[in-house]
Amino acid sequence: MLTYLTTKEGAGSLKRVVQRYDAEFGTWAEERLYSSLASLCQVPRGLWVFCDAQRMGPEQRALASRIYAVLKAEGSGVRLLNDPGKVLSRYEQLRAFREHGINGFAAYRLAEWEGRARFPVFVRIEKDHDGPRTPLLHTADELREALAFMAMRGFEPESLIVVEFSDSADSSGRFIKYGTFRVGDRIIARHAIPSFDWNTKISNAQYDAAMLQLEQDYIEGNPHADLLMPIFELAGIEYGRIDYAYLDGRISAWEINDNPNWLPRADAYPPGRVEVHLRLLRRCKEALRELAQRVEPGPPFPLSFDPDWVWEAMRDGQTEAELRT
Amino acid sequence: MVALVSTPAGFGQLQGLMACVDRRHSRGLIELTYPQLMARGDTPSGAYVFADRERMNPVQQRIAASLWDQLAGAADRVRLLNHPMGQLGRLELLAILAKSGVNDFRGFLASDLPEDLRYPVFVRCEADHDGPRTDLLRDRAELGRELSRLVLEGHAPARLLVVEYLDTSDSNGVFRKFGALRIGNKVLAHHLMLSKDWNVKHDSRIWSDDADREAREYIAQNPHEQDLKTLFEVAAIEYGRIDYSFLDGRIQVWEINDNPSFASLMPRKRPEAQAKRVRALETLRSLSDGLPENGRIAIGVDFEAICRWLAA
Repeated sequence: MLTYLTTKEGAGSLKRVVQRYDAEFGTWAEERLYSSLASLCQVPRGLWVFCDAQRMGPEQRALASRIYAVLKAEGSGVRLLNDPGKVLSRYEQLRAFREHGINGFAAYRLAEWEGRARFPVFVRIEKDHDGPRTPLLHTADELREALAFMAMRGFEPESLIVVEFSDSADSSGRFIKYGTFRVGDRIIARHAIPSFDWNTKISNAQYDAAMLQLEQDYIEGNPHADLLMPIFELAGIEYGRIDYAYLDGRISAWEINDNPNWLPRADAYPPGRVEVHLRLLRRCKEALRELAQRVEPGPPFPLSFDPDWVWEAMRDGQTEAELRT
Repeated sequence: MVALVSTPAGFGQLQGLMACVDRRHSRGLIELTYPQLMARGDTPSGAYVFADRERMNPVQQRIAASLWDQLAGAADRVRLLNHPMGQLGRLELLAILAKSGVNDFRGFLASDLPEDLRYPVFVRCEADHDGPRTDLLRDRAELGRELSRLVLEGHAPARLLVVEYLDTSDSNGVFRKFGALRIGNKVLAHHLMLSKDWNVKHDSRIWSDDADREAREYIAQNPHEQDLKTLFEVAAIEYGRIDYSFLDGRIQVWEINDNPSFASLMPRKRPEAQAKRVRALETLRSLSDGLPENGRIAIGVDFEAICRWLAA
């Protein structure tokens, strides 16, 4: 049994796979909201994947950590992926990747960028996976104006991060965004999306024969696995997808998403490409099944939700938020 | 011109109302968002209602206040309502009303509950107007479980209010929730909903001839006008809707919404509902009475200052 925990905002990534592509997966995998655990008396043994720590506020994360600790105490009856207390936030990831010499670009909170940021930059939201919220901004004045309007539109100041643009285009101006999953101890290559837009997405991908071949070789050859595992480890993420560039033998890591979409709708792919991507589904699914099967079978066990946890989480969350700041 | 300025999240209340009536009743009224006002460069003379303070974070409030200050510089050409920093927030209002003996119940932040909290309680969000997020909770264990659910749903505890329940039902178990609008100097009785449910909402209201008559009398007589004006003054809210009930002949204030949705509370086709909409719009239009129709006021935005507030 696999229990896949998400926040409300992140709900649907596993359900969509089951609905669109693989009903059998749904017979042993269940996606659940964290909030639903508050009203459960008992929970299943098996593999538990804690997603979305990056989307959580400090108290929410502290409460999720408490649930993680309670499940962990069950010992051989469960296997857990992604300790919410250890998963680095987007900002923390980017800082860590920079400090460890992985990335040549930096990210800043709003109190940090003045006089330090190397332009151009863009702004993104720490707690979502929707990519840049601005075009490339070339001066401090452009950045200030963008931030002011974002603030007035209601974005919480602490959720905004300023990221230096790192040009990873090849000599023809083409960007390739690589994506690779980690599922436990396995690294599974996912996609190599080519685009002439620096903000590379499947919707602006421009595949040609050479790029289709490059992607196929990438998925089958999984050439960066050894380089990527230490980056996942650094981010505290045992289940997730890293998006990165690879240029001149070097990785630049944009983010590791701890609740990635597996597969978009089939019509999002170039004709005939769905089969290539369905291999990812099979590989991820098998990796999860293998982890779930390693768990000692048994009946469900009680999860008694202590009402005091929430007040402890408020205290711990605030302390944690202060430490992180 | 009269402009209702709201956050993007709260946008649409005036447009919803205007869509229900003949266009002539909404002439001279516009609704715009704060970012739209910021981007204008200059803006016409007229009345500006600064709505949605509840939905704003402190930086948004400061930006809105800076827009207010610039408009206020053209004193004889503008009328301004609802200072974004001057109004009381929901929690502050509940605290003052409980302390002054107006309300017989109290509200607290979930993260700051007193030892003598009186159960049952319910939980609501400070920053929205969606009403209770829980059933009535009878003890600390039930409250803890429900707060856990809400926090795990993504609600920040600093924006969750725990409110003591107050039973305002009559001897037949019927609850009455009154709603009155303040628009400038006028207070208009707006609705009276009767319900068997303590959480009185449009969906749970009693539809009967008696309930209808009671509501019509309330609206026609506007019997609490003076008391309500005082309460709006306490909250420093010049545009909004107060929701309240009565206990032993005394007003109990649930909230004042500074960007109310008043169109949806009225059945679309009933003539008296249409008359209420027109009356609200005409009252809103009257806010610009006496102000010059021409002329524009420059709006500048100090991006550096905003970035300093953001960084603080």
